[in-house]
Amino acid sequence: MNKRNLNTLVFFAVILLAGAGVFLSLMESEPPRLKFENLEGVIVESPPTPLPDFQMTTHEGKPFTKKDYLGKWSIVFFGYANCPDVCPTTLTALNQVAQMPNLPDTQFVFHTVDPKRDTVEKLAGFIEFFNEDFIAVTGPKSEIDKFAEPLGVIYDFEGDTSKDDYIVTHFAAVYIIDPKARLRAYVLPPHNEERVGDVYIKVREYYGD
Amino acid sequence: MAIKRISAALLFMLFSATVWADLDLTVKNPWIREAPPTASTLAGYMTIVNNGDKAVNIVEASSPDFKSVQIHSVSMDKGMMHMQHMHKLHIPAKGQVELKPGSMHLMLMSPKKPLKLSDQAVIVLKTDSGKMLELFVPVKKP
Repeated sequence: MNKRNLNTLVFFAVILLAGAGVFLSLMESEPPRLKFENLEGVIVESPPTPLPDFQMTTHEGKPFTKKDYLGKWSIVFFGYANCPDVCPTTLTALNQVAQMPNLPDTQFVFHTVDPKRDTVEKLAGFIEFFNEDFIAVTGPKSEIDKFAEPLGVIYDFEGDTSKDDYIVTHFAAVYIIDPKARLRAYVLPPHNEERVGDVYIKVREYYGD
Repeated sequence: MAIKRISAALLFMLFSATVWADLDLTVKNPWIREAPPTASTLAGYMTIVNNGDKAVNIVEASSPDFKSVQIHSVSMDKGMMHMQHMHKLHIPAKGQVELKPGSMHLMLMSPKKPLKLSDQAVIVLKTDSGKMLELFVPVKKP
């Protein structure tokens, strides 16, 4: 073996070791995926998916960014204020979750996918009806899309959007966001207090802060 | 005065009877979900029972208290919630269909005045044989 070949070998060995080191450190920080037996429609993200940076506004007119997801656990839902059935059903369930006696401190956020109709004022009247501590968030469509994309939130408008009575078809999962602003798990409908609350508490206990 | 009242009641019963005549449908527990005051779309729920030997289709829903009413089904496909406008709601003979949250419902669009808890709205269901079923539906919490 000449010197050149030896150098190449050492070079690759170093890369391999470094790679293994990074891999191991990742493995160390990420425990085995939490499993939910006999529960359909509960998806745990392992490793968690970081939220993107975004710039939106709350129903109180305050700015709302990725920073607002740091340092606390959050339960998040997407929808629109004109939604007659699915969104009120889920928000009613989330209000019940919020009132569970054993629930640790949690931020609840509703992200609209219909910024055209969901002004700050409209969202205020909408979200306060369900729970005065919930936060409703809107923003330009580009920001909503940026935020929704990595979470896999797809939505589509049905009907004439130049009129006022169009429908929005949307991905209707409840999302669990960890204190590092990462998507940890999501729960598909049907949403009720027991299902959402139980999954949330287990995810939070398992992955900690 | 009393006679007038009785005749009015009789007239009402007669009228109700014509509305209901040879209609085998009964409706149980109709309600409208209480919604935020700003809501421009509400949802109505009920159980429609067919006591007859023939299936009945409801082909239209309307209300003097809303701009328009549609019968909607809800389905989930890979987490996407779809609402479909149903042009026919089939109530099987000796059977029933339940409209309930997260499932089939009446989509009540553009209320003519805000509806508060305990308010009532009139909803009219029309069958494929042209018969009408008039309902007084209260606003309730889920």
